[in-house]
Amino acid sequence: MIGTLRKIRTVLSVHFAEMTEFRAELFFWMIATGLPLIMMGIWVPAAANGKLGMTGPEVARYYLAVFFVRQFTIVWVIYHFEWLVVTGRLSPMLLQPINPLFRFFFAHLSEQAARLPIVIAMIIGVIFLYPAATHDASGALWLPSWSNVLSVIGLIYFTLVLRYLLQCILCTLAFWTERSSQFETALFLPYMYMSGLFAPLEAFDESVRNIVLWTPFPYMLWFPANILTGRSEIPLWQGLAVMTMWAVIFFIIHRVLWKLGLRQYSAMGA
Amino acid sequence: MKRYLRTTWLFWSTSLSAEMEYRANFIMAVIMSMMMLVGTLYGLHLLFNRLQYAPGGWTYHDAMLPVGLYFIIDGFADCMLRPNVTRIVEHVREGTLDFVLLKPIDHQFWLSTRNCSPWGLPTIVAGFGVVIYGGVSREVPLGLDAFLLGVIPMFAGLLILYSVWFMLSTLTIWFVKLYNITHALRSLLEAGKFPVYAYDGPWRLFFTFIIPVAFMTTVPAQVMLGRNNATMWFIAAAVLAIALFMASRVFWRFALRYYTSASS
Repeated sequence: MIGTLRKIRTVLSVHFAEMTEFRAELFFWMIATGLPLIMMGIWVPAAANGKLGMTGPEVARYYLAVFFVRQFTIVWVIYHFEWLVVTGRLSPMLLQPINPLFRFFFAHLSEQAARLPIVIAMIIGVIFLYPAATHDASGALWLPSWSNVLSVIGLIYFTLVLRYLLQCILCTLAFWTERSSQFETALFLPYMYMSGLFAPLEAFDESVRNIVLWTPFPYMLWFPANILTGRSEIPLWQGLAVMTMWAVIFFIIHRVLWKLGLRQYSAMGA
Repeated sequence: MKRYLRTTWLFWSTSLSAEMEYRANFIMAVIMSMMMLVGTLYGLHLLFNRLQYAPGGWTYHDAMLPVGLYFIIDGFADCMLRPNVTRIVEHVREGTLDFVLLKPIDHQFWLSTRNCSPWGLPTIVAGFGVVIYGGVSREVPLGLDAFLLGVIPMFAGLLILYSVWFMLSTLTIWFVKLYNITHALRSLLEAGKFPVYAYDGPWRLFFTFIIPVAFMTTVPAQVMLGRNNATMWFIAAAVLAIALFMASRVFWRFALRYYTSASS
């Protein structure tokens, strides 16, 4: 147990050092993930006529929460894994006693730590642009409740695991095709439209929303964000149940494909 | 001039035949532009029909024009910009830029035209479809002359995107690892799916004056529709496009002075 903890700590600190080496890259990465803040600029004025059922400040808080959740659930393992497979660098890693995909998971955690200061700076910047976001209807200061903050922290890590498992499936496809990262580009589209990033799910037609709620995407942003702002229509247990179902499905698919893929994989030069 | 045309032809025919190795990509590209089409138009429907949001009098059909133009620009970026400008980062990081600089041809030309990819074409086709559908199904349908007038600012928009992208990639000379620029620009470009008038004040200023996304989709659309001071924006788009293109050339030469190849 102590051995595992020590391993995790070492891996975390090594990756943290790597991430801070390229700060300019980190800055552009932040802009790349600022889409929720862009969409906020559309939906806040669109909510003004009251047909959305959310007020302007509620929409602003929703998108700030989405931005926050998204920052801590970003998964990029596929780009790294594809490069490892294409260049043949994966082969020595397969000889190590740790599954490489397990190791890269911790690289994600360290990278989040490097990003935290910029996330906070950007949230403060947006609140400065739109101060109404921090006040409720009566004009009093609005802050998320402690229980919601705690639940959302837990949820964020569950979401991260869920998204990571989904991308691990794509990683295994790298054993068959040279350009597996384009599946991630493709998968980003349903993610963007169905996760509540492009439009809050409150705006959807009832029938469409009921279908979308069965997919894993709303639980990657819309659900945790609403838990944080305290106006979730879905009870916590129900969301967790759907997420667990998808996590199990993703894990099984990943394991099956991984086994098949390794058999199929012939390292470069071999 | 003739030499450059011939070189371009050679560049494109070779990179097209290389891309033909990945023919399954075509199906992928079609599926992706379909998803984008359905998702974006549904979002537009929610905003303009369901919530009856009518910023500055833009209707659902009017707002289709920026969406279509966004698709055209995105497809163009897939065909021409992503395969080329993105690689500048790689050249700098791996030191292969040295070989480019030795070639007896304009560097910026080589770096911007060396590759092309056909996989953006489905998106471009979808984009023209949306523009035309939106234009003719309005209450007052647009005529052929309106569409043609919009072609000029559309090209200005493409030139603006190219110049901004090229200048940002030039920054790699100083920062070395900047792969994320592509992702950053892609997400800022997303803003172009909606007319800039639909955004709240600060956002509108940002996307007009800081990152000129408005000039890529909203301005060509409003020139076609002939609304919101179209003439003034038309001129502004042309001036900005030329100015940014010149700036990209000057900036590239300036940056090269700081380039100390990979091994020295």
